[in-house]
Amino acid sequence: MVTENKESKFKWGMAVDIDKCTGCQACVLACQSENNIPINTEKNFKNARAIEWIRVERYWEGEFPDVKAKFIPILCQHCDNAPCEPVCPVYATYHTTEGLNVQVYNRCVGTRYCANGCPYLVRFFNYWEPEWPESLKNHLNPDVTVRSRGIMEKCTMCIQRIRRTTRNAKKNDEELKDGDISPACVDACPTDALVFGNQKDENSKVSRMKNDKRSYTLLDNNLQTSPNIFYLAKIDHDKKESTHHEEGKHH
Amino acid sequence: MSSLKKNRSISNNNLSRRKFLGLLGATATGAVIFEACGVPEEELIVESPLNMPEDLVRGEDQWYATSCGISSYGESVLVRVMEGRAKKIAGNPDFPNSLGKQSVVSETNLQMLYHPDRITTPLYRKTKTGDHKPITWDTAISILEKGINDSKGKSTLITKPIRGLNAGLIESFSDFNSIKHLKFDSINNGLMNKTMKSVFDQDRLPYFDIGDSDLIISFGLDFLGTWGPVQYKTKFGRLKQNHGKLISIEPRMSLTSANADKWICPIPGTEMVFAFGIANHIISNNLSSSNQIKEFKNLIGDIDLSSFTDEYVTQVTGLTVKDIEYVINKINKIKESKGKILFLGGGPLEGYKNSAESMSIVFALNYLTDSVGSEGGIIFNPESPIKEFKPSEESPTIKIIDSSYANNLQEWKKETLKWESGETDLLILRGSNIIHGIPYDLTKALDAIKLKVCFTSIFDDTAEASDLILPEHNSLEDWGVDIPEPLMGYQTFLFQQPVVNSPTKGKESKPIYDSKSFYDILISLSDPMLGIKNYKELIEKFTSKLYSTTATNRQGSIIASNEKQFLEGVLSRGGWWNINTKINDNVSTQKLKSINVSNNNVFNDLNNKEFYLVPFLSNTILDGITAASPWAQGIPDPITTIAWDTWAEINPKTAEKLKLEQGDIIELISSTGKIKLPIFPHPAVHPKVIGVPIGLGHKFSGRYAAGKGANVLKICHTELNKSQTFSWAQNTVRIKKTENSKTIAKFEGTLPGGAVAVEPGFPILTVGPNQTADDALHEAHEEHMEETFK
Repeated sequence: MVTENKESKFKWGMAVDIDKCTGCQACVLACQSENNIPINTEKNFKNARAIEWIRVERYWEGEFPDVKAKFIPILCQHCDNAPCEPVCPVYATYHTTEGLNVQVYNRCVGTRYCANGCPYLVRFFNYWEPEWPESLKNHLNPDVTVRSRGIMEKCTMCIQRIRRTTRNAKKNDEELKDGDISPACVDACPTDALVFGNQKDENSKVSRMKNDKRSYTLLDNNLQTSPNIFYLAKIDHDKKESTHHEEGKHH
Repeated sequence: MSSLKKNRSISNNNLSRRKFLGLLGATATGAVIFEACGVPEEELIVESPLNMPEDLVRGEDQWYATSCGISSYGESVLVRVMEGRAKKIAGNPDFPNSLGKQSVVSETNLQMLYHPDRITTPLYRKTKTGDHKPITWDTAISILEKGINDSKGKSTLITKPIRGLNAGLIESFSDFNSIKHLKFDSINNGLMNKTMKSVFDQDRLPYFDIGDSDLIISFGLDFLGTWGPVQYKTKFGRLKQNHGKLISIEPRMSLTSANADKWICPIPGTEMVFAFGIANHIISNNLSSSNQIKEFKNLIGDIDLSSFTDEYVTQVTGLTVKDIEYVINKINKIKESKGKILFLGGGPLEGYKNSAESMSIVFALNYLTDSVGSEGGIIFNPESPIKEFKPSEESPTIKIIDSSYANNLQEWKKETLKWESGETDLLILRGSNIIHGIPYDLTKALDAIKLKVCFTSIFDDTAEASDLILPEHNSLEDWGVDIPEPLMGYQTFLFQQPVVNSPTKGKESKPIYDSKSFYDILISLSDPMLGIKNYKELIEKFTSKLYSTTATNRQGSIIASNEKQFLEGVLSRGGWWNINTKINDNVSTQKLKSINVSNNNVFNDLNNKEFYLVPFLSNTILDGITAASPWAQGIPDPITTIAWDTWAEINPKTAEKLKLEQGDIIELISSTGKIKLPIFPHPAVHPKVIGVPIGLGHKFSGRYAAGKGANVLKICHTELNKSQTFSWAQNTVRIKKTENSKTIAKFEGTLPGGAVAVEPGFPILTVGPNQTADDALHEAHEEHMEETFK
């Protein structure tokens, strides 16, 4: 379990308002573009090897005609008590002082123990060398390493953006303000369902959302993983709170 | 956005030569003021080089505002450029139509820009059976020029619906060369625009105030998916924040229906009857004033609304009384609290045989709820501040067009008959893959045309059928001035500027993509009296006109002390807008022609073995415009999670009855043809409906699209409906099983061990309006334990 790091001013976190998520996939595409995620070919999907650092899961509730589709974006939960961290034999995955669960690519030897340990299924292994046609390499983000075959990869909360913005702020002797940093998925989300910020700032939007009465974390009650992604439950205006709700079918 | 440079105004920033532009040269930045559109005190400083400035620091990124290039609604984006290469596309936080967000399709333009199959040089095929061979630009232009000169009055130019100065230049070019200009869109036949004219007397699409409404009742308009600017999605976030409700009525679940509080699924084509039932309820329960009822009745004519009882509505639409009561109760509640109700129509409603009447009645309901011309309802848009301009005193006038829509199927049928009979010698195509998008075979018609010229960057099916292929710039390499449609309630221009050049090769640094600007070519073949060399110059002159028109009253988003600074302002901000041009007009229906809706036009004539085929636009591929992008192909469909393929959505009970399972290949047979595709059973489609996405089924279109999926448009019937448009959403088809099946490429089910859950059995936590997450979690846990151990 990671204890609170008092030296750092930051503890990054994200809030996801499921009530606002429309499932449009703008976050998924923005992430793939920002983080040089290999092209998910038809074959990758068929072999269950598609890589999506953030994915949108869709669940059905009810049956026709009273059926509802519900969407939830799932990404690395950056758990304080991350099951992926202690199992890595080479310390390729570790916790930063700012609360991020990060992956050191050039340390990773590809045991995949971390992926086996992750209950959120957000770690992706490069079974093949990622390939882009020469011309498409022009749009690769120079701030992000292209991972090679045999390496585990996952959401970094766009650490390159965090680094760049904090460095620039320091250089310009400016204080970082809430909203100055946003990962690509947060930037793209058309409905502002995703919010990123510093949990140590009580007035930050993410802190306020974390303390909202609708806030909960995934699987935390069962596994005690202490995630740093906070979900705001979907509101059903027609739900009678005393009655049981229908069982959702699994993705 | 993290790496954007923010400053209080442009006058405070470091707009050194290094920081701002190659294109505009060194600038004095003293007096440009950015007036906010009601939002930012701080402004983003974005830049614009035509050529890479020599003194750019390597490793430093630059952000430039330009047009998205893919969205047809006029969205502004910021492009991150490093060392001359575009690296990222993000929404322009300052621009009214974008508000810092981008449509899911926007970023695919990066892959179109650097596509491995992008055409690198002009190509020409001398004989009909020969191959396309590379030629020089000089030769290509001379072939085009000769074609234009030899075919005066017998030539046609086809583009997408285009607005702004871009459209004006095309019209000017067409007029000068006696070329007929037609606009093409595969399924959008302009019915929305025509409805706005007939119901609200508006010449341009109004703004639907989604964010300020309390209840939206949408008859098929997929404003959260494939229709409208990204701003509408942002405003939906606001609707949710304000606890507004959404009811969606359509025969298959679009992304908008998936996010509705209630999805109601009628038999396709019967929505009009449901709308009448709603009108009957509102009127009979005195939920409208006598004036509102009068306005409504002026429009709909003499139809007896009292006949639309619940019993009749359920009988025709196939809905239950419970569905009707749900809608009525919500309307009652909102009316009691004096909230705003907004009725919207679109999507399949525009593709039925009774589409013109259905669209009209749905939008006319806004009169009954006092939602016309008011906040939370339909807000009318002002006309452009400049309707036309002359680049110089001697030059011809260029119109500035603020609304545009595609020609309808009747016009296309007439036109292609002319081609077939040899009345057309020259066809110029730009951005219109008509071979894929027109629902009938064009081979004979195209064969009869002497010269077919195609401006494109990807070798698609239409390019393959053309004689001369001219590689045009990507939108990130080109200039443009658009007027977004719909506007956000006030005058706006969207400026597009080149933000990168082609990568180069060899010691001589030759551009890899030897493309040219479509508009530059038009100018070179236009009236010499225009007196301009290229489109950039025309845009500079237009911006001067905009400056002189707006500078005197110091209104608009940019206030500058001279034209040059004004140009810098509009380019760095992505456009110009004036929030003080909002209009508060209402409209009286007295002067409008009555729609005279007839209830005899409801279509419900299936036999037992037939199904309604309802095609729909793909979430990321749309009608095929982004099919060449591997991102667009590889992003799963939100509802089915399928990627890289075309599928037939079918209700699980129907599939069970037909003994079909996921992945089984079927033949969908219509009166005009058949296609083979796998089925995907899911519960959000009417049992008598087969939903099939449009967008794939290309023979060419690059390595990522060629041979993928099937083109459903080719089995849609081509009979004209009453409004002479394409009834693409109301076809009858039969299903024939084949012996084959395939593994569908989809994301669902590919994760080892299933999915993430809050509590076993409860993947997504849902709370009541006053419930806490803790209570809901406890409830879910109790329920799960009860289920497990009962």
